[in-house]
Amino acid sequence: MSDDILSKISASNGAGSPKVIGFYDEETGSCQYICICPETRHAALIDVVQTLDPKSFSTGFAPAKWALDYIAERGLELEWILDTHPHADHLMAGAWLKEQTGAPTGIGEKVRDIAALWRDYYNMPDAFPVDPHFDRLFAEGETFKIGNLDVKVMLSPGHTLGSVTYVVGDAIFAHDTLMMPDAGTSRCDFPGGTAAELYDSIMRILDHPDAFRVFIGHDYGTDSRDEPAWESTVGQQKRENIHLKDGASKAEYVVRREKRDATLALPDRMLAALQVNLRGGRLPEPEEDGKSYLKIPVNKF
Amino acid sequence: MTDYPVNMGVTPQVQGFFDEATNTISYIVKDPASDACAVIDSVMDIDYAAGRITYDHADALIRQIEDQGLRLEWIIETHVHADHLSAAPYIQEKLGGRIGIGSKIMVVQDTFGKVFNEGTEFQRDGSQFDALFEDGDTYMVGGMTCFAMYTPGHTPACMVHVMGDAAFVGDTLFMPDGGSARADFPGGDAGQLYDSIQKVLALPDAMRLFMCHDYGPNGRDIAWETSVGDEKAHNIHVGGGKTRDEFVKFRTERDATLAMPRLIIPSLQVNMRAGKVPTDKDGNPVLKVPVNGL
Repeated sequence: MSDDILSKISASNGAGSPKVIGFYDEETGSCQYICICPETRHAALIDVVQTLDPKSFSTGFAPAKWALDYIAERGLELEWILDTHPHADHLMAGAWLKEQTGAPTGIGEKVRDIAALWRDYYNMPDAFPVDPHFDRLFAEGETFKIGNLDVKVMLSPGHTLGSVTYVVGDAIFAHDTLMMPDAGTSRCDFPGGTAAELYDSIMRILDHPDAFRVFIGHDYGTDSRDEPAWESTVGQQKRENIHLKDGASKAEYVVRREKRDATLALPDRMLAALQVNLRGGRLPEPEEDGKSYLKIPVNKF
Repeated sequence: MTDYPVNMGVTPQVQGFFDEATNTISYIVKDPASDACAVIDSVMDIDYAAGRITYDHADALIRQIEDQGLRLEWIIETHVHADHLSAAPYIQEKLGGRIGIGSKIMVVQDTFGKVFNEGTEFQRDGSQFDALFEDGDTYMVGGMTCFAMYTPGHTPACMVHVMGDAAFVGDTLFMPDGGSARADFPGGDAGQLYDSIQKVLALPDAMRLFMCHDYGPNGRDIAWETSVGDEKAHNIHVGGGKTRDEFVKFRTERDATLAMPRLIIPSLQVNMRAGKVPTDKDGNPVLKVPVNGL
């Protein structure tokens, strides 16, 4: 098992509460999870990264291999390969993980609408038929199981129009809505994102009990904190989140969020990531030379 | 060795324009006897993450040429750059002039036509350029006779352009404290690069040399002008009589430690088309990126 992947264990709080292994992709600041039912030893993977060198466009699966090694070494049974949304900052490993394990993949059903947006950006009217690329497309309020654990799906638009939050017992996989309390909240300026919707989605997450654990999608450290972190609680977020703690109204939040987003550069991998992630993490069909090619639209952003 | 028509008696006015994003230096070279000028190694700006192309750097050159009332006759590419995109077609559209590159561009087009799996509509005959230079070819900028020296090694199509007492070395030499260009791209060859550098160093000692790149080694300010004499005496990779074998060993070992240029994929794809951005079937500009292909 590779030693250079930072990981942390969050223990189960008893029946119905998952054990959560968070592991970190340093290149993209992505937080990835293994969510484990302690009773049945069934597990779900959430938001696992396929690596991409943004210079040479070579891909790799080191984080995904790390996760599969972890699962194999502990005799866990992988039940789900989940993503919260089609990420803009990294490629998904979902399709590869499914190839390796046979476990089903899942994401929110509104990915269909996200795909429609991106077909225009890429000028690929027939691309990204979402349904064949995922085994399950979850609707708002839908429930399923990881072993004996109850999972509830919440639609959480804002960062994208189709992001979902998985609530597994007392663990909330909040992806790109909240960040750590000292870092604030996620950007909303990608296609289909809106700050107002993000605010509402965050409020719905914070409606959960204060003791619920919140696992986020990204952390880059802060000026005063070198070590990446990804776990907080609903209570901490309510008290300490720098974008929310002063009781900013929705209108104020939206103004601040949009002002900050205007200063942010696009992620290096965005134009590559979406066309892979809307295919569940598969590269485009190879051309007759056997190689896959990505299309980078010029002057669309 | 080809007998090149060196004329140290002509001293063109040379203005360098540094591009911070790619550490490239573009030049306007003015014939001392007329208002004719040439542009060498222009740069098109790209925000790669956004896929956004802009022209601030090229516009600065264009403004200078217009403000000084110059007539642009040539837009020269010393080679197919792998680290920045050429603005040649944009400048040509605004100011005219002919776009020229070494005739071995066809080798580069063949190599990268395969890398990008280009269709038959991508010509591999150099026809995207207005002029293809062979070793020793001369051309005029106003009344000034210029010539191209074939200097492969960094790429198979590299040429050094000499205009009076000024030589534009492309990616052969860097400043004396910067050494030499890498030779590990497809078609590159460290031995050839050494031989090409010797051709440059065989020019008169007083010949002014203008670099295509500078990275300000050891914290010094960016610089781009030196001379043959200086390079011979002080170049850290080839100066002081380093042998070919020594150079090849050093260059090969060093190249193995270098990362790929950030913009290699868009640069090659655009520059092998003389700076034109490819389009999809509907005419939308689009870059095509091979995954796991480099």
